[in-house]
Amino acid sequence: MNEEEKYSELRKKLRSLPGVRAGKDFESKLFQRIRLVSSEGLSRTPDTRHGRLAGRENWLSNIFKQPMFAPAVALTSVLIVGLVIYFAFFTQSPPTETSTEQTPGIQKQYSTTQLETLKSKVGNLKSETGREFATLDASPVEPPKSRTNFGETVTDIRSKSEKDVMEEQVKTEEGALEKTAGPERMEKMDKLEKTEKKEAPPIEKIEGKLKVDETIRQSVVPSNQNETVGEKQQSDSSGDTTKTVITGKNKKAKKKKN
Amino acid sequence: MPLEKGIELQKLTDEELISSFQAGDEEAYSEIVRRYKDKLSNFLYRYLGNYDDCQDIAQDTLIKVYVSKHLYREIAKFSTWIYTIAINLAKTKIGKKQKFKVLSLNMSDGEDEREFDIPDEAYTPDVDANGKIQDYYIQKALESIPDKYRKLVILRDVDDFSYEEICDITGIPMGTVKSRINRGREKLQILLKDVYEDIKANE
Repeated sequence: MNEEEKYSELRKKLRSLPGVRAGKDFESKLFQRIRLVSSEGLSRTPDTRHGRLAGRENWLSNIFKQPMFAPAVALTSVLIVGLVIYFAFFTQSPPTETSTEQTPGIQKQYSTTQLETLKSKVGNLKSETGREFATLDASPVEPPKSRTNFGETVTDIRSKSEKDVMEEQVKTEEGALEKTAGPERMEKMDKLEKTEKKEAPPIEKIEGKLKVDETIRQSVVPSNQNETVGEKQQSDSSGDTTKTVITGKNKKAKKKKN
Repeated sequence: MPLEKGIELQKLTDEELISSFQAGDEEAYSEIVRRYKDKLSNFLYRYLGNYDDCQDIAQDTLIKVYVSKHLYREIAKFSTWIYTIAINLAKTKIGKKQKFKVLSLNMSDGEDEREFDIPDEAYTPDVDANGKIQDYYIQKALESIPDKYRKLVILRDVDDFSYEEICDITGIPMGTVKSRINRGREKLQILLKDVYEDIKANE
């Protein structure tokens, strides 16, 4: 190598340096220190002169030994506890989920399309028969609104569960819709009345409505011949009472029939 | 019996001795101490420049070998392992020395100014007296060059280790080892050039 040849003289001088030997008491001192190390049970560090003890320390003790970590640890624990309490007690569930859970029965029975069709049919029936039926709202949560000429509000419905109310209304109106199909049937009824044939009055066929009309006639004293409004309390088999409001525009027909 | 055993131990290689010591043979450790105490003292004196320090570090190195014998594995040579320990401990010593100021003992004590001379125990009596001055200047030149060049020059040119062994001991790549050794030699040559001229002039 060129580098080796270039510094050959220097290398010779460095190699010719006298070798430094260990002291005479080197081994005795060494074994003395080894005995000290083995007696103290030090496993790794040879720094026995400084009196340091080697050993593993728990990481927890390292955290709590130093005083500057204590407030940080305390603050962290307080924050964690606060977060747990906040998420456990103060977070609220969204209202839409509970409303559906509370009234699952109604939702099952009444889908929006069904309610709309029922509404339209009731509306048609109302226009044809001249009677007003209890309105059926699409939202099952709201109770059905009904008014009477007597100024009384439908308070009994509120006592019942909304589910039962809706069921009864559907039953009555379904029955009404089945029996009173449309304008053709009404014409037939008029014809029948004119010919004075005793048929099963359309009112009789309407099971629910028949009872309601008869009881209204009995209980209500009309102030106006054209329009009367009566109330009827109808008892169900279950014992719950419902109020149905009927405006009697067809009272003339009934009177004639009677 | 002990003499025969001693002779048998002298025939063993360094790796065989350490494996025997790992098995529990304390005599093997004694043989290791006998083999390496002078080598370590020489290297550490050339590196640190102080005899007391080199003795302390040499003892610390051998104590560490005693305590950590289970850490040695025959992947590398034993000499590589022990010199690595020695260099690391020497670096720590140098770092501590640089932190603390060195106070001179030539302090004035009131009216009487006394000078305290530390006895020079660096050379043993059997060393040739004529070479003492030259050796002194070489040692001073070695202490003058940076640490990263010094240890490599000593390992290569004083202790005669191969480049591969120096790479294993220091953990430095081969190219870096060679370049640093050459730079160290260059600096030494410049420093010693003036010294040799003065020596020749005096002669």
